[in-house]
Amino acid sequence: MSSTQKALLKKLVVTAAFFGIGVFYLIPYIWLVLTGFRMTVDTLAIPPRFIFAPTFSGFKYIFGPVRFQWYLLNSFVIASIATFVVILVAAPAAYALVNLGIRAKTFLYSIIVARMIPAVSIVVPIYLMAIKLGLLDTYQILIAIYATVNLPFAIWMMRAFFRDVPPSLREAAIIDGCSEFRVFRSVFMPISAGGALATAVFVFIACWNELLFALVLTNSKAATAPLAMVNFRTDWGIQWNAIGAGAVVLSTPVIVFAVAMQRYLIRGMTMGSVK
Amino acid sequence: MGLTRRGFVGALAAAPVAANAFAEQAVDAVPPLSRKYAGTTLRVVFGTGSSWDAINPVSQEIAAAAGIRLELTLANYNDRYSKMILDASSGANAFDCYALAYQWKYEAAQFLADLGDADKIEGAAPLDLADYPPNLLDAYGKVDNRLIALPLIGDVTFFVRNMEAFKGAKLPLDPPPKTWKEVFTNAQKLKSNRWIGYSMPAGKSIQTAVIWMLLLHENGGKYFDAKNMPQFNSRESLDAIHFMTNELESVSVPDNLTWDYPQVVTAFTSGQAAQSMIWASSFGTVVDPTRSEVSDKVVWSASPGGSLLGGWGVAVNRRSRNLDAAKFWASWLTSTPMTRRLVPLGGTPCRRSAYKYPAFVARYPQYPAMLAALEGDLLTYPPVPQAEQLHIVIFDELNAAIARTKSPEQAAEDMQHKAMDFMTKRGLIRQ
Amino acid sequence: MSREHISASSLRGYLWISPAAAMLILVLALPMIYSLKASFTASSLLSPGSEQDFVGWSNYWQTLTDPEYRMAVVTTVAYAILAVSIELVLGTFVALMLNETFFLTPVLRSAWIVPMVVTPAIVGLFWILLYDETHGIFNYALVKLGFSPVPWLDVNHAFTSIVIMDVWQSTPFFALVMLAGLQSRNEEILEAARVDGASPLQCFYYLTISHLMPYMLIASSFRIIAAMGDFDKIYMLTAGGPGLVTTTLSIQTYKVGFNTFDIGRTAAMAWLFLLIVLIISGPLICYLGKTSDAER
Repeated sequence: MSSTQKALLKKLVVTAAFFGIGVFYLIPYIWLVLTGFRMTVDTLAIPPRFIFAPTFSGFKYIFGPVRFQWYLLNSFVIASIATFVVILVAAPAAYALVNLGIRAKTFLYSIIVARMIPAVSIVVPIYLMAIKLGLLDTYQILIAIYATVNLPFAIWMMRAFFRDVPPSLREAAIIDGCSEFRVFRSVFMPISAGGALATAVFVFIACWNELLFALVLTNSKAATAPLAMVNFRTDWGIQWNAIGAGAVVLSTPVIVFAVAMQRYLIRGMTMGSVK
Repeated sequence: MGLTRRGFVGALAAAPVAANAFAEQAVDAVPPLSRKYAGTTLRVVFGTGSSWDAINPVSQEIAAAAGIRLELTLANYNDRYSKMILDASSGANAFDCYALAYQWKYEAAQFLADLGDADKIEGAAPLDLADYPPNLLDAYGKVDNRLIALPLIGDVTFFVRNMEAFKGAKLPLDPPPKTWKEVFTNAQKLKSNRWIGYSMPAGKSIQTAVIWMLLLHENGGKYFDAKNMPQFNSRESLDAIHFMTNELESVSVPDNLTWDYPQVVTAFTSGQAAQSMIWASSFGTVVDPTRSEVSDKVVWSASPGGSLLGGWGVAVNRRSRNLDAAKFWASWLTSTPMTRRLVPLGGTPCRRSAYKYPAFVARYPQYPAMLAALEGDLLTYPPVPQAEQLHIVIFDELNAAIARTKSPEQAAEDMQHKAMDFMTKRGLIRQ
Repeated sequence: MSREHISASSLRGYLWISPAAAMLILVLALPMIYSLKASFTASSLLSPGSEQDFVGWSNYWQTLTDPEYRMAVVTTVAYAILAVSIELVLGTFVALMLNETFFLTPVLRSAWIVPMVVTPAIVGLFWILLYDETHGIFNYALVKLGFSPVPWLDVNHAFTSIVIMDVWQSTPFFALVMLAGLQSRNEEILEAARVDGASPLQCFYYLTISHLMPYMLIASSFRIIAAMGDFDKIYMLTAGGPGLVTTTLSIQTYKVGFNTFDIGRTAAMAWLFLLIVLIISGPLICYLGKTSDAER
């Protein structure tokens, strides 16, 4: 065998091995997806039925009586707007931290501390606040909370991407007479577009998957998809087919999103503060 | 936009296959209703699962017939409680009606409207209170002479056994077990490679406490003495804890330490456990071939040690912004004709007339047994405010004893100690 | 640049940062301040008027002397540190693996994203089935391989089970961060070292690991903070049981808040929680701050 053939063979073997490892690691997820296409009684069979009659009963149930599509719509609207708001607020803040000579350290440390506050700690005071403001069970309250809770992360990420931009670019632009805003909008944002996108994807996923705030602060109008999922655990039994179907519907867009942004994600996850 | 449902057909699709055919027979239609409340929006805390899924479309129909817009917030057990308390105590009053489990009624009563005169509201249905078994009506809705909830889902503990397992172990199916000791001796004989003797929950949930309550009652024990002092470390209670930790646990599934009700039922319906206590409202699941492997192998009887009452009522927020509309809707939801409408869809009634209705008795052979249980020796959960807290004390200690992180004696003492603390803090006793 | 220009810059800077600051103050700081006030009272939702009932440090004292609370602290810290340590090692291995050359690179790498993005609440809910002693496929596989089934959710195993669940969900995060680190490695230095006669082990240790160090620190500090606040998936899986073995601080705080509605106590627990997270992750963050500053 020639050396190129050997290299090719090695590549093939490696691919096969890693494919196997990947599938093995994803078994919990694969089983979840399969559960969505089975009847509950099949899911609970002992020994597990790997061969079964596929059915859409789970999907029919969640899109029928449960009206999962409304929950999905709520999730989508809230997550999208929240993500948009986050980027809108975090990007200038990050720019200011990097370029506009303010006392970065204090602010940075305070946003790290902010990120440490778990939802459980603030959910009741926020509930009481929301009542006073008449914002219970509205889109606005969840958008406001999700946006704020994801701000620390977004600022941190955007700051990292902005630090990657050579300072000379800014200096040149300023000497040319550009305002800071112009530099931000026309130089930094385009260059860091990938990073902004990665940040947006992360934030969207976090909002999409959030449970506790949605549980406490919404009732029927703004209820999000994860709440519907949790309700499949009923007083009398766990509706596994509905959970499987719901999980497929809920996770597919997010997976597609994340995979499409893969390139930026991998870069962005280092948060750029390491070169 | 909301989660309003027009999907009556959809609900039928979710109901057991066998019940579909039955539903095609004539059921009581929703009568024409007063339009006085048309245009109101009612918000209700609602539940999920088979009985609630059945009530869901009927609640919508009733509302639609009156021109009311109904927004249901679906929540699971714990969340129903916290949503109700949060809503009522914080002054949010976002909800008009709540799904009320009677064990919550004492602390919730301060927030709830009196429904005793609900049928005087214009257009309301007759309350027909005599149609309820008196113990049930008392338990579900009476606090200090006020009727703060109307019974909606009737539920009681029930006992099921797998015919095949009994035949295999050459045990007679008749007479049904009257005591827990019998259950245990049967379970020992049933236990094999193939069968688990009994499906006992040991998780930190009310279901575990339920077993203890039945055992306590069977032993002749009480929750409190005449002066309201807890009796959780009495001989009867200790015996109950011992029985659960040693006897019953030895014939149960080993990983039941995180079991809640779903796992109990699943163990039976998947053909794993030969005997189980279930809530009567789960009976539909147990005999439904699309949800149970043992649907044609079930025998049932009253639960040993007495019948513990479960179930749900519908209550109205006394500060509801649509008080009359809410009472009106609640009266119709629990009315006699609507109760009859619910049964073929999978609802479990509270009304005697429903349990005696010939078509239903023919279709649901367990109904006479259920009615007998509801009219007979009915146990309730500890009748104190914030009883949930006591339940937590009970099942926490039971869970610890069964997990063998403490001895039954220690568990009983701790249970008693915590119960005393609780009762003192709430001003129910003086130490 | 002139001094004026710099100050104007600073002012504009504060302007640009003000929306973010405002949001953080309104939505995070205000509730925490409310919490602080409430923590010194006997505030309870079931007793109207109790917010005025000043009790001093008693909520804090009761919490700190409660053995169940101390257990929760240990459980939370142990869970976070154990899970993150395993994820770090495993993640690095996976990254080394993914860094090799092979076909279908995007597909194989994308597969690892999946566990990260599945809703944690769903993970917790579904792993009930996977861990089920008789219906779960984990035990089915074990039995098929000749081992005896494991009672995953009993008192001796539940803690390990929640760690495993988190390792499954969060290892990809570490893997992908490490992968980015590996890909930013300077190949020439590696080549030069090999030419100079350094053994593969020396190469690995001195060059690869030390290069990956900052990445490891970032990923670890991020994940430790998140793990300590993990709520959804643990609550769905075990609700803190059996006994108290999987009751983390967030679960305990939730129970006190939503079962007893004891706001005063919950608030005290919230502040103590913050303190504990600060203590645990503080050193890591400081170190991170120093190294990233040094680079600049």
